[in-house]
Amino acid sequence: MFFSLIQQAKKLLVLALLCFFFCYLFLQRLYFAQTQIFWRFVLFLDFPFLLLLAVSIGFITKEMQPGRPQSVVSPIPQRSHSSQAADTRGKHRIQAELKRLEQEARFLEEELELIERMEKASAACKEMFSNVESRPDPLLPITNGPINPMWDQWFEGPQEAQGCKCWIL
Amino acid sequence: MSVAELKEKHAAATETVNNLRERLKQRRQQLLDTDVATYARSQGKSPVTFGPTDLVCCRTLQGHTGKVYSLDWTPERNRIVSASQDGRLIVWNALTSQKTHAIKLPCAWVMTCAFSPTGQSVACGGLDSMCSIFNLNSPTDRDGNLPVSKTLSGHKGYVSCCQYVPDEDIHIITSSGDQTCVLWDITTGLRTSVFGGEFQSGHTADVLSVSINGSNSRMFVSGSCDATARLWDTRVASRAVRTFHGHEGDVNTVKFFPDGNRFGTGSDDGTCRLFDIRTGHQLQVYYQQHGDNEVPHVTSIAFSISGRLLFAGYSNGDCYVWDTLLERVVLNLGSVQNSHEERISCLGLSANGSALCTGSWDTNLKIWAFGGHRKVI
Repeated sequence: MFFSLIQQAKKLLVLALLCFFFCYLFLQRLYFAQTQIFWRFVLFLDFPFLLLLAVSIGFITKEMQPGRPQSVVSPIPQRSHSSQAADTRGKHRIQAELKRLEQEARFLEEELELIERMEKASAACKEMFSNVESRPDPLLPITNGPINPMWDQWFEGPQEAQGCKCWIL
Repeated sequence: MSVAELKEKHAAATETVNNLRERLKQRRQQLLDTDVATYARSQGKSPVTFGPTDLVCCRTLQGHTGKVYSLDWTPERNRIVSASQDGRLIVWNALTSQKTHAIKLPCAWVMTCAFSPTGQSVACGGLDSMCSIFNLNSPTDRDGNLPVSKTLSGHKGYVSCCQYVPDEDIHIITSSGDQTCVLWDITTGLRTSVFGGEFQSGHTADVLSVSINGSNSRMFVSGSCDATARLWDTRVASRAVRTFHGHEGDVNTVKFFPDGNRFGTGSDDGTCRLFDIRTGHQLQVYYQQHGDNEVPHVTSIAFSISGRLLFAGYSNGDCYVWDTLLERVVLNLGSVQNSHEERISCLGLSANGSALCTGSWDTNLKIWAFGGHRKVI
């Protein structure tokens, strides 16, 4: 019902534009016919006005053409078509996200099963402690052996290069 | 199924996942009967103590004209490659401080660099979303620039970190702002495996760092802006082996512990953490309270060769040396004499563990070594 009202309103608009145009012509000839500037006025004002009128009528009547039954019968299918597309896109996105969540849930359940058989942190701490203690470390003041003589290479020989090999810099 | 029904299912699935996570968190908390520091103290362990001239800066590598963002050592011959905001990679002989190569990059916005295991190639990556490989033995072009020998393209975001798989120059792993890590075959330039992404379970935000296990090169860890670290098996790209929760901010840096069964992380929440890869337990948190409200971010970490020391660079210019067993800061390299003038952005230990290299926003790199009296037990 709303759409048919719009159609009626468009028809009325076209009629109103036509009426206005003819009134304009009548008044124009009534007041300017006696003067030589009449024809110049016609050229300058009538042509663009005619063009605007033609475009407006063409635009309005195009929407009223019978070749687009959907818009004539009801705008709702046209609107729902675009909203249907949006729903489909949203649906796919939600489905993908849902799938990811279900996969995440499966992974978490697997991890919960594994954690039941897992040893406590103290075992890992003990292993780490043992590993660290046993390895020689050149950066420590107190360390296990054996010492590598290369550890002190940084303090042997000239510390600054005499020249740079790279000519670019 | 309608959209409304799907939304209901989605809400139910979200609640299920949250409940499972909470159960997992509680169960894991029950297994945390101690941490490393508590255990070490119970064993009567004494802290590491450094004298004022023990850890000293023995080299300053000058040459970059922009902030240094990344560095990497060779496994042999004490060479370092560094990447800088000036759009260059420089290869240094760390012993002599000489530059052997200065590589002008096709894209100046570099974020990471790596040396190949044989020392014959270097790789870099950055905002161009590509990883570029340079063969150091290639002849230079007419402009004197080293040409790119291979470009690894396929990431849909910036390349934040890259590391060659140990013992071979053929494979490299990259992390990216597109939320994935990729294992590449450099020979073909193709992706061997993609870890994460929209079709697989993985990180849900930018991945900032990777570290490959030196003891088992099939395993690597990644750190991400989603506040998690994930352990991956290169043979199984469909899902992470384990996800490590605990951090409350971006995980900027990850590094495997020397024994290969643990790894460390550094985060925007100001903490470094130590995780066990087999159990997933968080073994230790390394955090020092600061007086002011702002908590400095951890930008980079490295372990000493035994794992006793953890070097951590922070956004406020500090570089704490942590005693990993006793959770104590034993030195701040950011405040010693002859230290950097700006933030330390990257750290790396030499292959034999005798030197630490730090790279800074002050455009320099510095080499630190133990120059004091060493006691051997």
